[in-house]
Amino acid sequence: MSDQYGPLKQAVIDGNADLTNALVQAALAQGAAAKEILEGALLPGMAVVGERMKSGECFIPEVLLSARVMQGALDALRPLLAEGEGGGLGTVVIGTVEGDLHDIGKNLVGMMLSGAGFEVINLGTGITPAQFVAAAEEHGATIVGMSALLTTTIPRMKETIDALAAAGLRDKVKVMIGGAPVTQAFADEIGADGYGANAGAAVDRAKSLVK
Amino acid sequence: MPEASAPGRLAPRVSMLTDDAFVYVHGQTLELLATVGVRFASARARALLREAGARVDDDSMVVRIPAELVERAVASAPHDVLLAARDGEHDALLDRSRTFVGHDGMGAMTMDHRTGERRPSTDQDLYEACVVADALDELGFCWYVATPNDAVPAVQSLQGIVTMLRGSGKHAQGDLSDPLLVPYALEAAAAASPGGVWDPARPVFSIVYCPVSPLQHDPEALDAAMLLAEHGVPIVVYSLALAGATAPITLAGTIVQTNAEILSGLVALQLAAPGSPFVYVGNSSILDMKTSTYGACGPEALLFNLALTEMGHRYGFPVLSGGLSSDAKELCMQSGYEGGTMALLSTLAHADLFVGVGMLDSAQFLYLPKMVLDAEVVAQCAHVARGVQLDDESVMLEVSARIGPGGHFLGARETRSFLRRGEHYQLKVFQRGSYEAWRAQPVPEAERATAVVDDILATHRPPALPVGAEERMAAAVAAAAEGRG
Ligand code: B1M
Repeated sequence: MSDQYGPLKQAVIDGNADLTNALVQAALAQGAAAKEILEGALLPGMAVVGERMKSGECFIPEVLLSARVMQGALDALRPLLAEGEGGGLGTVVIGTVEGDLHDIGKNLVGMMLSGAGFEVINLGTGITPAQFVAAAEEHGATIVGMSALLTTTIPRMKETIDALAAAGLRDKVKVMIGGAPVTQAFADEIGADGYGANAGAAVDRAKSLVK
Repeated sequence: MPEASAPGRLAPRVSMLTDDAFVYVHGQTLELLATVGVRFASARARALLREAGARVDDDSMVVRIPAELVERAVASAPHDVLLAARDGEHDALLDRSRTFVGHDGMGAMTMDHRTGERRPSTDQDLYEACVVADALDELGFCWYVATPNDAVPAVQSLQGIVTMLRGSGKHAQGDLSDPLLVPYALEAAAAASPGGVWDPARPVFSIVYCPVSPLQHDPEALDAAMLLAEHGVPIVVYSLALAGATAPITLAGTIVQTNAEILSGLVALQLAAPGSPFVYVGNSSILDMKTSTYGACGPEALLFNLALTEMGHRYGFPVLSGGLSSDAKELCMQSGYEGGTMALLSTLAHADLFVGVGMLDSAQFLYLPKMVLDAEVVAQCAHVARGVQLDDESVMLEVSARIGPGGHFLGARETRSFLRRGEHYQLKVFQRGSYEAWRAQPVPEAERATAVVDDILATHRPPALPVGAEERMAAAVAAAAEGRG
């Protein structure tokens, strides 16, 4: 199967949108199932890109390009995928906490998660605990992701976890946190399920949370 | 060869900006400001800009600033800025004649030199860093080097200013992004000022204000900065564009955008408070495209700082530049190289201020012993900047004639006298000497620096505050905490 999809997988790795889309259409025309294309070519292609990022072989913008290309292809496949087949690692609602406007890290993590096969709802910056709760409910989130870069704003993370508990959602979602001053010890202390020191680690952790 | 007269002092200077380059960067900046524009989320700033003739789109909050407005702001900001010291002895007058050095900032974490543990910073950490800065002659002012995480979050930055004023007699440069804290900060600064009153001619504190790259201004932080400017508090406009992420990947694009962000901040500040003191910051940086983290140091940061320091100077502004910062997580060759080269270049570019003392890990944690080592680097940089005195007395031909071929200079009166006058730099914590002597008692650098820190903390007391100041400052923080509660 992987040989058959070698060129498509490579097109994702190369971040070549036109070729990826053409090969997806060709595969569909030949009767391939959407799920097979996704699992046989798109996700394995992204996995290679993820590995290359970790080993320092490729640059973040190249990873993001592959992620965008894969998303584009996925958009074409989505109507053909059965319920639960969406590539479907689940939905992540992600935002920077209230009082904090640092958003580069959060945006990067969001793009990388979507490249890895998560549906990502980016809420933006300055998100209050109530807004996180409302978004988690509205989108049926699998993971609630919070980013904070200021020591004055990281307390909002614990408040959000408490608010999720108060809304009866704590058992239904996993909570992931990150941002320069955040540590694993802090994540443990406030009862977050996952932490990522950088975008690559965040993707690995998110995947392991939904396994 | 014709006879040349003695040139006097030869002082090295680094420069990379030609006249043409300045005109080009300025022109590109004006075009960016006039065509793309800048988002001002502050309604007050937009009203001021509209009134002054800028094109304002209230829906997007984007303001297109015409060249003429920029030129007017450049002309209205003062060239010389006083960062007054509350002790009256350590004033930093920024008039291009000297380079003053401050801490790095703003550390969420501290590497505790007593335990070796890296933990959240406390108010006591900030206080100690200021006491050490007070004791070290190489430091000219204090920066908000550690955030007091044990203070009420809403008033942490105010607590920071108070602690800096308590810990040192030197000027305190802090952060204040909440307009509601402005009156409390002015009250605290008044309490610490001679006579217990705020004197706009002698501001004992100043504020770092950050535009939000690309091309935006946060409403609260800018409103706070405009208010402070109206009270004579110098505002240091520090754009932190990260090339490739929040600015173009190219160094040229990032230089132009950074300049545009700073100038757009200047325009708003000069409209709110014409003639108010302003400092230009030349310290942009990159996103590391492999680790996806902030890269504060390295070749790009050096070039940004050099180019932008000269841009700021050409406009006639005092400039704050990068200095002893490092992306390294420990004291090592990387930290020495990154911090040392930037410090030397900033010194030789004649930046009015540079920062970076005491921190590691891309300004993420404070490590007090590094302050002592950094001070040594600062002293050496200053010695280089002093240059070479070139005249008949210094060339010493007469002495050479007296001693003649094959003699030595150790016994000459001039040798002693020049040594006493500081012709040679004398090491403080760095070392020379024989390998054997060192081997007999190999005290690692960090330990030597730690001993100096411990000695300072045990013996040095910052100059006394005016009577009742401690109480007034504590009351200001308490009132602010209640008000912001
Ligand atoms: C959901 O799960 C996850 C998992 C992983 C997650 C995650 C979520 N979120 C992040 N990750 C992880 O993956 C990402 C990708 O690898 C990583 O994200 P990061 O965000 O860490 O990394 C980014 C890709 C690149 N890094 C960054 O973008 C941050 C870099 C630094 C230099 C920084 C920047 C750029 C800015 N700043 Co700010 N800023 C600093 C930062 C210094 C530093 N050492 O981090 C920091 C965070 N800032 C600080 C400060 C003080 C401030 N800043 C401010 C403003 C700004 C700018 C606007 C200038 C700009 C932000 C622009 C923007 N659009 O985001 C102000 C606050 C504004 C506010 N209300 O939020 C202001 C108060 C400064 C002022 N005087 O105004 C310091 C915080 C100190 C503290 N004690 O908390 C600071 C450490 C710098 C310093 N040493 O002083 C990981 O952390």
